[in-house]
Amino acid sequence: MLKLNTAIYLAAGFLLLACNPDEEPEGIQNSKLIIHFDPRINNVSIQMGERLATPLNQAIEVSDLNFYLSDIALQKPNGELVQLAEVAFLKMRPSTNSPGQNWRVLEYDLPEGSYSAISFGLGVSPDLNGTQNPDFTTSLYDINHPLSESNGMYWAWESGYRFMLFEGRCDSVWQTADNLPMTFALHTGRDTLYRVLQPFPVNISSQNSPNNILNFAIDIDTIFDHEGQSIDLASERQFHGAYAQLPLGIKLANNSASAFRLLN
Amino acid sequence: MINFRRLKIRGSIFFLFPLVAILVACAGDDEDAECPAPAPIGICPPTAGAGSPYTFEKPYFFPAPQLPGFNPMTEEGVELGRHLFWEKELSRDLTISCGSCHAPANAFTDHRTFSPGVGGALSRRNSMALINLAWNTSFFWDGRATNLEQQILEPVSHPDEMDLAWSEAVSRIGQNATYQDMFTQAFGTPCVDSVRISYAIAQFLRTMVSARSKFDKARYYGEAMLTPAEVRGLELFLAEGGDPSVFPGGQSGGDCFHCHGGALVEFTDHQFRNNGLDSIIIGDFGREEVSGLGLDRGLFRTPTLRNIALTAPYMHDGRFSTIREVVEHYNSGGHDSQTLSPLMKFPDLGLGMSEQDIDDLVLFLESLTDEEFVADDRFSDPH
Repeated sequence: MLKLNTAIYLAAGFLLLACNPDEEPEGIQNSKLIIHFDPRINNVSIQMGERLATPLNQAIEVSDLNFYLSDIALQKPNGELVQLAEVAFLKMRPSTNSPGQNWRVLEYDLPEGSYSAISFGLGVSPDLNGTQNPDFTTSLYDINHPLSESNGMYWAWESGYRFMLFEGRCDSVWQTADNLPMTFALHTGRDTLYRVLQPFPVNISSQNSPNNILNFAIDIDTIFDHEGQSIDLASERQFHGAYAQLPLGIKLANNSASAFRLLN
Repeated sequence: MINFRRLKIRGSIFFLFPLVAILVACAGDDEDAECPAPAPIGICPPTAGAGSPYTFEKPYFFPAPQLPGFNPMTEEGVELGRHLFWEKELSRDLTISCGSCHAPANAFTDHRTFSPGVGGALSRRNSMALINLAWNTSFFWDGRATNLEQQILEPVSHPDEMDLAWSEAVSRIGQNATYQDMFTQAFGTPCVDSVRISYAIAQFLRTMVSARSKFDKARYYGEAMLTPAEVRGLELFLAEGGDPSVFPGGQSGGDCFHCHGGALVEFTDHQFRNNGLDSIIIGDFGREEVSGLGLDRGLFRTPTLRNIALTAPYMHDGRFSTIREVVEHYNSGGHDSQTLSPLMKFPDLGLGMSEQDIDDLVLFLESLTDEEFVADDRFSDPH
């Protein structure tokens, strides 16, 4: 009997020692907020490289859609903002590098509380874009940071970062032939093209679930046409921030900001 | 006390184990930040804590480098890596080392279209320059390795390169008394495996920092001045291509900065692109061979332009012999294909740069040569 007791005490002691002191007490878990982004046309998910039609019935194949979101924040019912991240970088093209990293998904620890909206800006906010800071340098950011030069989104010291990189092949008409004859590369940037989106109503709480998931559609058709502001690939296939093309840039920035749609 | 001599079993299958046992060694969110890639697990004991910490000298205008937490740099590890980098025992017939295809005078390339391996077999692609690898996010022209340690494992055993089974490589190095001492100093024990060899070489390669070119001295150190022609070349480098009277937004420039870094620091965007070398891509599908995506056909890693004047011939297949030929290729607009980078905006039309423009752009690119880097004794053959 003594041996049995001794064994029980030893086992209990072992279990206590084996516990990780950093672990949360049972019953309290860190809640996560997981945000998915899904490019779509006509509300149907697209594959990169898939032949698609724009609202002007022009053929496109999207190869890359990269973008920054800034000031990602949750809003409490009393209006208080809780920032999740200063900036995040997303890209829709599948990548075999960065094992375990899905560039279409953002994941944050959800601060305790209930939230009624999520907000963010499309692009790099002027505070971070560096254009107003004569001492700005990309060396501020290591290669794991969203603003790292290694993400290939830094433009030049004049205009700062590309806010969105939208590239692929296209034609000025719809066609089903194997090869599309032209390319498009539409890049927003410059502080004037940063867009703060209207907050999206949500209903999430750290008490409800360990994983709170938000799904955003990015409506590619809206990028090409929103409220009568159409991008005509017959003549508007390249934008890289030049002032001479700013009307195209404004249209692109406005349409792109309108392209984000919360699905749930 | 482990008798490490007993571990040195020639040809033992245990020495092959590390090559296939690629496991995620990082655990926990905090560690992920310092350990962005899977770390290979070897048969030797863990290495952390051995040796004197190496002080990585980051140029002030560079971002923080990618120094993996699983392979901390030490003075002894770097020195061991240097010896192994130049070690011909790592080739089947003892004729070549890593340095054979990556010579300092050529900015760690070999001036050949394709590099001869053991027995004269030629490599499939042009030898890449080894410059500022501490900042790289992928390795090889197709980016198939995601960290330097993983990259180093390949050339030793590749039949077209050093063609030595890793079991034999480990056995040879493990029987060398000098190396036994060096491994002890670097890693705490004389145990040798493929992982330790790759770790040491990776540590050495990360010390190869080039940031003292004439351009750097002019822009970042105030120690030199670019000539008017070089300055004009820089302006062309940073300007959009295309005649503005024909193409909205055009600046009659070279369109270089899109892919080679508008920040003028690393001179690469670390991305993969099809830069219009061919209209029909056959034989080498580049990035597609890694990703399996048709979108990636003919895409190759954007190389840094640092020391570009020393790394001829150019492109993944070494087709261009001079920088001028490269610039002329871009000035031609390149060839259209279904995966051509949209940043090659004028395929088959061209940028329309003049001969003078090309001359000046070439002069600017030559100003990126770092003579101190290629002459640095710390990288030379110690044997």
